[in-house]
Amino acid sequence: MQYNRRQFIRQIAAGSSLLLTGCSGLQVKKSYSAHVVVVGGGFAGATAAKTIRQLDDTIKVTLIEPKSRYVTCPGSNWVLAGLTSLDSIRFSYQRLSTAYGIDVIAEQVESVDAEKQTLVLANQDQINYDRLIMAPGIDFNWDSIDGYSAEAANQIPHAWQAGRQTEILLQQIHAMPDNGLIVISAPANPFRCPPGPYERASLLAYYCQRHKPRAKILILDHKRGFSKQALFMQGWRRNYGYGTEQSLIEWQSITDNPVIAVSVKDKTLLTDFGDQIKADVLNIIPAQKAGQIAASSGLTDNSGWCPVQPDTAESTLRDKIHVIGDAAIYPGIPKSAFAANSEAKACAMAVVHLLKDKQPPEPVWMNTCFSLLTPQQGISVAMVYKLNQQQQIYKVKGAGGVSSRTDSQSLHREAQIARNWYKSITRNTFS
Amino acid sequence: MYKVWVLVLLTLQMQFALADSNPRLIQMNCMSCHNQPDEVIPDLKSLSPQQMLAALLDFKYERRPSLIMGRIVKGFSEQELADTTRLFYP
Repeated sequence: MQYNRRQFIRQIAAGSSLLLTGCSGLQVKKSYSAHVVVVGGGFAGATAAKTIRQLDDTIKVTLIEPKSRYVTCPGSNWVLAGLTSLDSIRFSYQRLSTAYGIDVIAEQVESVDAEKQTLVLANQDQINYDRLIMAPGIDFNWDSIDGYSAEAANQIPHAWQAGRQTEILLQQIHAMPDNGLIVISAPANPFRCPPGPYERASLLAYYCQRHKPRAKILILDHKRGFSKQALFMQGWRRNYGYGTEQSLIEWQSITDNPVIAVSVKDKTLLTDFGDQIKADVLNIIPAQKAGQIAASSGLTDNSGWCPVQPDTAESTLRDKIHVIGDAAIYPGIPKSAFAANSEAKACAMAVVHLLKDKQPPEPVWMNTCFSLLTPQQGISVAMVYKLNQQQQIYKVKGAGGVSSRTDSQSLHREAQIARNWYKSITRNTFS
Repeated sequence: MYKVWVLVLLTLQMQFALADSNPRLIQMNCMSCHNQPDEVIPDLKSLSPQQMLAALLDFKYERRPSLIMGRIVKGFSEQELADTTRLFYP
């Protein structure tokens, strides 16, 4: 991405004048060198907004997020097991506003005009930007399972966007009979939080062991293997009788016999070969795609996700729009909160450089995904990612991998680290 | 002929010699975990620059056992770790 000084000055001039005249919702207190708008207040968006202000406080940053508080997906499985409350995984944007001077607007984005570098909010306010960072998270491919929809999710929760969905699943688990069957339908790759369904099964088994000892959890998986599989299965054997007739958890790959329909009323799944699976609690985690505003802004390809240039996170389809977090395609990097936070930092660094007409620095990304097998046993997978000369992301050889020590003491310490990591990354993102 | 081979080798070397990652970016990534230190995840500011670099190199070369850090620091060169350490002590 080559910039010349003239383009830069023209851009700033346009941005500044529009700041003064174009936005009814924005009060300009001082002149800024540029205006960056961030759409989406999850781990990616909130981190990007904060990091830009930390790197250069002459840049005006506006964060647009309709929800006043964000409920994190990390930690939401802990809520299901009764280890923490929903309120403790909820974060406001107040600190981003007061401590970093970010203008937070609680509105829905209606449309984006990449040519005019303008977006329109649901209240019809127009906002102009010099650079736009989109972090819209995920949306669901509802039509992948006949009978499933946003409305049906009120009865058959996905609980893959935390908040009300988490509450619905929690209530159903508490209300099910002691010998109830919980069925988790896990999606094919790629999807948000690859180890999430298996941590969920682990912690639901932990809950059932104590409150519904004759219950069972069946994972119907639309892939042949999953993240940290060996560690999860070892943990299930150790804690939940996995592999025996009394096992609380059963895992089945149904790649060749996928779920094709659901009867919401009967809580019954229908597979391609005609198998019917009736559950007491049905948790369908559907196939996913980038958040809806990404598609309507022309940022998605045929996969439903957003292709980006990895060095800057700039869309390959629209100039001056960057996409980060779960919605973006970063080949090899999982769609996790940690990775979203890391992508946001690299993107913020690149955007600050581009706005100064400078070459962005060499990027690096990190990821560590922690999962709890029980409240006292944790496991993780980690990796460091860099960019090669061909601008492709690669995993640094020798780095990363899954937990290598699985003795009780190490598992216990990893569980402690997981809890502390959660406190740290949420503080790093929202405070 | 010798010159041609030298040129080819130099070109290949340049192609595979990757630039160091930005130390500020690495430092910012450290803070994802080290932003709320307690007894489990240490406070980086409690270490001197020499102690921090020595600890990172011990993790990298497996002279010190770890659950997480060894997997992370192996992703970085000694130079990257030294440059990043310096940023913690401006």
